[in-house]
Amino acid sequence: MAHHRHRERTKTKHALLLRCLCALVGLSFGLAAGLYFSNPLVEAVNAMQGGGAGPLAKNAPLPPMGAPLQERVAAVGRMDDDALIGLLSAMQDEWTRSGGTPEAEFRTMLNLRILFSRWTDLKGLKALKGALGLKDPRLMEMALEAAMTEWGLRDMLAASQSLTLIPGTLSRQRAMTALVRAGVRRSPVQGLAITGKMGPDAALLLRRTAGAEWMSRDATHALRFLTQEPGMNGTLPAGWALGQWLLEDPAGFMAWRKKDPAAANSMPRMRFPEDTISPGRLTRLHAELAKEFGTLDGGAAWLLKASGAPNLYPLQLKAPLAAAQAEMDAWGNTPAPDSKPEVSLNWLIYTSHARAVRMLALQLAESDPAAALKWLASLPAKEEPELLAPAVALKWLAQAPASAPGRIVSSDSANPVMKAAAGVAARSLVQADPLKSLESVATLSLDEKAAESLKAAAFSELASRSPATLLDWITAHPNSPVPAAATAAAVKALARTDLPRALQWVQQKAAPAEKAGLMASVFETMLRNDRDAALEYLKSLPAGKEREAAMLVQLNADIEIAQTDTFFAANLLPDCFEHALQLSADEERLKALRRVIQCMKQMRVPEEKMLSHPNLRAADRTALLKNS
Amino acid sequence: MPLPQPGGIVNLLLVFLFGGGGWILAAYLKTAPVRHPEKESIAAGVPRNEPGIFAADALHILAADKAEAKEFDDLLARYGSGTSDLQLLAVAVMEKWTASDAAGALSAGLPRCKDHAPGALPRVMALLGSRPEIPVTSLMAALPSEPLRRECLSALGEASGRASKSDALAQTGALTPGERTLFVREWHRGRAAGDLPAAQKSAAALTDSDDRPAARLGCLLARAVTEPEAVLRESANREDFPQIAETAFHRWLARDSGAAWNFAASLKDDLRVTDIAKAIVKAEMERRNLSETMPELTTLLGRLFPASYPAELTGMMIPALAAERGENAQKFIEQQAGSPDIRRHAGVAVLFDTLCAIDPPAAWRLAEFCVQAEGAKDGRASHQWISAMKRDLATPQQRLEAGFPDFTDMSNLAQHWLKVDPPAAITAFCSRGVDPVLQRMVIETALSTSGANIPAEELLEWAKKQPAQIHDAIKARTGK
Repeated sequence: MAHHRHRERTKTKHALLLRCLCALVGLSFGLAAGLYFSNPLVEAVNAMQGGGAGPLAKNAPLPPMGAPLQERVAAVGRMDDDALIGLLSAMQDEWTRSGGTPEAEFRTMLNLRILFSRWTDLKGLKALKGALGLKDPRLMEMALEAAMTEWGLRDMLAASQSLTLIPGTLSRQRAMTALVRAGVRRSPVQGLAITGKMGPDAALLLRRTAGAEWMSRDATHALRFLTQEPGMNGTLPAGWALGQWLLEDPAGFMAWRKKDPAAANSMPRMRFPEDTISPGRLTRLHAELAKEFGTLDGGAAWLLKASGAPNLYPLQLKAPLAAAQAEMDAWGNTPAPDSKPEVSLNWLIYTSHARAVRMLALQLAESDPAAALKWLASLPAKEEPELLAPAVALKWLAQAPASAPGRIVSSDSANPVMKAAAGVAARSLVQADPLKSLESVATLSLDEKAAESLKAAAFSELASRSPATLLDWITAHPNSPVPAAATAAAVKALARTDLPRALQWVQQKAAPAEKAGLMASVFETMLRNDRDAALEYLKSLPAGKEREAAMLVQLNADIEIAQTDTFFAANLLPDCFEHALQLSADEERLKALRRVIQCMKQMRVPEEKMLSHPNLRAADRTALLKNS
Repeated sequence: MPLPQPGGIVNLLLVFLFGGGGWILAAYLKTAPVRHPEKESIAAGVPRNEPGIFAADALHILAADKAEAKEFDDLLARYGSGTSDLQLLAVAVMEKWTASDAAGALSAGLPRCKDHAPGALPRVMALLGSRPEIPVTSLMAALPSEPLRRECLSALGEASGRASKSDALAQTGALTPGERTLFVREWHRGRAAGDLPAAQKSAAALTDSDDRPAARLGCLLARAVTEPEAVLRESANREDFPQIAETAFHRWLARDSGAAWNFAASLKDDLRVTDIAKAIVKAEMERRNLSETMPELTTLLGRLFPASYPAELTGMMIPALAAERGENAQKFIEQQAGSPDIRRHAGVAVLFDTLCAIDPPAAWRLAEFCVQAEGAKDGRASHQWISAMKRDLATPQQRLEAGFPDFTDMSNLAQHWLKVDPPAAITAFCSRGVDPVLQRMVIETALSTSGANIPAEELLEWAKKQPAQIHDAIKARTGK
């Protein structure tokens, strides 16, 4: 029995062991198979999240709202939509704080790319809307570019269907080109194919962008695909794409040219999109052409042949002065233009030439404004180079604010170019230091008219900027004629700030002929500042021209006041009549009396009593009665 | 055959049950393949078309303590020379590289940037210029040629000024006068940003008559950022006032827009009111969309210019409005003209020029609108200009007086349109009812080397599939 029980127990033990074994086998096989064949249940730990321990670990909490921006950007892989919106706002604040400087632009764009990489992983459309919600237009454009690049790498079709949400032609174009580039990176053929559906208006732009992106990977194939369309529908985008690629990666282009000479020799005319030309790219293109062809001239010759265009000003392959001279030589050899520019082709050639001359002159002025002016002065009169002289002179003045004005002004004033430049330089001299410019007029080789005009400008500037200095200068230079208007303006301006000094100057230093007029100017200010004191002063003045000039000022001021109010008119106008009667000059007196009577009529103040005033002279009465 | 025992079934069930559990556990333990490569993966051969790789690389570089040539070369291998992606990452690499090994960054990093990321050079020059251990002489020697040179020089000047490198001013011997002025100005601007009295002292100590005003301007520009109101008042007589005003308002508006607007409003009768208005409009345009800021701007400008805005101001605002939305620009001109008839307002010429560049079909429609209104004269096929240079330099008002739109305007439109969509341009210009002079002009522009430079055979090839009228016109002009 015991033996039987023992056997039963052993059997049970074995059965249990067997079951454990079966469970273990099942578990092992399940685990092994699962590791190889199962679909993961847990979302991948993104490289951006890092993994492992520390703040970048996938379960680490998000940095708080006030954390440094870079810390928040580093945690972008763990963020959801809401957190990403917050981060975008933080980026906008940072951008505003930095003032949108070029240095800030690099870092901001980098951060935007990181942010939108995560956001478009989650939801592309929401990411796009987030970018569109930005207030700053430059930041919004950058965000749109970043969003479209990242979304295009993930789902170009969906991204292309949302382009209509973007308002603004230029913003949309920038977003479209970013999207096309990203799409071509994923799949060149699909990327190129989808350009046709994105916007018929920008088809050429998109095809050339796609082509340039594709060419950086496989130019021969890209060229073949682009030129599938017959005629200019194929060759134009291909030509633009080739030019864009050359600008973006000249070394890559040259390598392809050597690797596939057959394709390179049969390529369509190259064209250079203006939106891809930048100082950095041009500098690199120049270096690459010089390296490839020995000299820049050799490179330029190849480029001209490849583009089929006689001039490529935007690329500026020659030194500015050489380019300018080459343009004039080429223009001299152009057979087409007649002497008279008329509509159609001739006019087109003339306008192109004019634009080229303008651009070359300004470019030359950037590096050597003196040479630019000299070159302009050497051009034939029919080119009308004097029209460009002011712009060139301004560039020179900006580069050498102290020495340029003198050099320009003292140059050959007979040449219309130099004359036009001298006008600008003279203004600059006066603006910088009117007193100094007055003193330097004699040393400059100016013709009489130009010297007078420079002096007049200097006097006028000095009168408004430093009236006391001008008045001192006039005292010190009694033989130098100064425009009366400038002296009057200076006296008036000085009276406003230092009345006694102005009064003293007029009484003691002013030229006798101008004294009365200047006194009137000072009295006007006195009257405005303190009427009672002014009237007291008037009483103290001895009879004479100055007194009468002051009286006239008072009369005019009183009439002005009377005209605004009937009450004032009734009191003031009879007094005005009394004052007018005191004027000694017949013409002035009659004029003043007429004005008073006219004003009385206007303000309905009875004037009959005035006309029978005992002091009114018979001749004046007759004239006034005749008028009324 | 004996049936399976219940114990056997249970065992089998156990195998399956635990097998399933194991599978689930494995699936749980197994994570999805990492899409973004781990940090160490900035390596040649990893394709750049993988989504998220750029962000991963950027985060890796930003998190690193240092960088060197290897990082740059790896990026170059992945992103390719001259690409904008490389340029962005190159700046980040150079920041780390300069911080950890400035000499190495100068000797190995700068040439790499020159060769592969030229757009990053100004920033790299600034980074290197701010390091005290890098002498300015070596950076001057490494300056690129034109047209990038000036931008780099300006960045270098400001950075070395910020770093208080006084010896930099003595290194300007090899520069042209214009470059020297630029460098001195930017150096003092950078110096003044950190220590204004020192910058002013340095400016006063300069002996060269051109250097001194340039240095003073640099100090003023730096001060314009911190104390805009005082600087604007004291520099009102300067010729470079517009530049100072732009700098002042750019930061002032971002910091305290209320004070900036009040200041501008208080200058109603000031001689510089136009410059002030231009500066404030420009700064606002950089900060916000113009159509958004228009209500506030209209109030301010209405107070400053009760009659009508100056031409310079409308010339700035119309292109910005048109870039946002063509209708906004048209509405703005209507407001300025005081009536829906915008044809007699100079702004219409500005709008036309803008549309030529951004939306040629809209420019074509605008030209049609201008000539089709009642009483209007169609001068599109002729012009009154006797000199191309005068026409090129003419103001919008002068163009309006000479008859807008005229042949030159249409020729400009043709040139722009042919660049972006030649078939549409030729079809529009050669459509029925258009003056034959304009038809001839568009085809000549398409063929001319000064125009679109399209080979005659290619144009003919395209024309074969077009209506007979276009085909015939092209055939007649090409002579084939």
